[in-house]
Amino acid sequence: MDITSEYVAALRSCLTGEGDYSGLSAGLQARDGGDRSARIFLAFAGAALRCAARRRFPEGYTDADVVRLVGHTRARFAEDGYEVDPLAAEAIVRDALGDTAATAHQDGLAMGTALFPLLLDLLDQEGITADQVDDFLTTEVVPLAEAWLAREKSASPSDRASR
Amino acid sequence: MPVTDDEVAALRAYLRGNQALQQELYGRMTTPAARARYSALVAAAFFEAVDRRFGGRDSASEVIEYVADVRARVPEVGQEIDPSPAERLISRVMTGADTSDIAGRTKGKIFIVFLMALVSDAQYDDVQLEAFLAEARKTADDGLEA
Repeated sequence: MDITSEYVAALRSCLTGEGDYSGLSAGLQARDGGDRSARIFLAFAGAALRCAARRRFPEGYTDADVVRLVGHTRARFAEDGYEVDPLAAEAIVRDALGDTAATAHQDGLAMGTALFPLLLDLLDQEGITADQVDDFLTTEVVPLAEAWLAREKSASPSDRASR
Repeated sequence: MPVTDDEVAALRAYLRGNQALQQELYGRMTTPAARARYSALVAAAFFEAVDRRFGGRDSASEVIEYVADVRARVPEVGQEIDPSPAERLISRVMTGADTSDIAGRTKGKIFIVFLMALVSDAQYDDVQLEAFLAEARKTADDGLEA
């Protein structure tokens, strides 16, 4: 198991603003190493986005759904001066909904910047409150993220390089 | 030379959804000067429409949501529109920010798509549409004279 309770606590803190995210993150980096902890945390957060997006669009999605979702998220965060690249955000939503080619030509930093605002907005839209985040993360997200990380581990180095 | 009646008629046809007439009139604009005047008219109409829609308010979130809404209405067109320059061109009306780095072709596409949306949303009757076009023509003429 890569995703220990500390990763759940860190992502929970990131999403709810409760707890000491910086301290939790520093602890994970010290224990697992900077690169490994970052890879696990991003895989976990990415899985959370997939779960939340699929909850939001259980019957599938249209291009208009994606554009409106990203517009809503960006508008919400723009009030605080937080800029989310619209095309990168639309790409990671499409990726989360199954179009894995959507992110092929997008900037990694821009997608990383978009991930958390989208996730926060989706959780709000799905009515997942702070006291329900733990349940969402442990029952839905952890299994998906663990499966993804296991596939990554089982892939040969040449497989990974070709992705 | 100021904007001609035919150039205004072409924009009127476009805004009324008469694509055949708009294409016919646009096809008659065979000189670079005529095309430049028409582009100036379209740009002036876009900025006038933005000013009327947003009324001088500088709300980043309102602009973002509007651009997303317009792109979502016709997704196949919306996919060809990069929202960032569209938002900047709309915000320019309120902030006066420089948008000279946005390519002319990109601007043209944004003007055409968003002008139609803005005018459609405004639901002008014939009199109001004529007043709108007259205002845009005046602005375009002022710009062409400068």
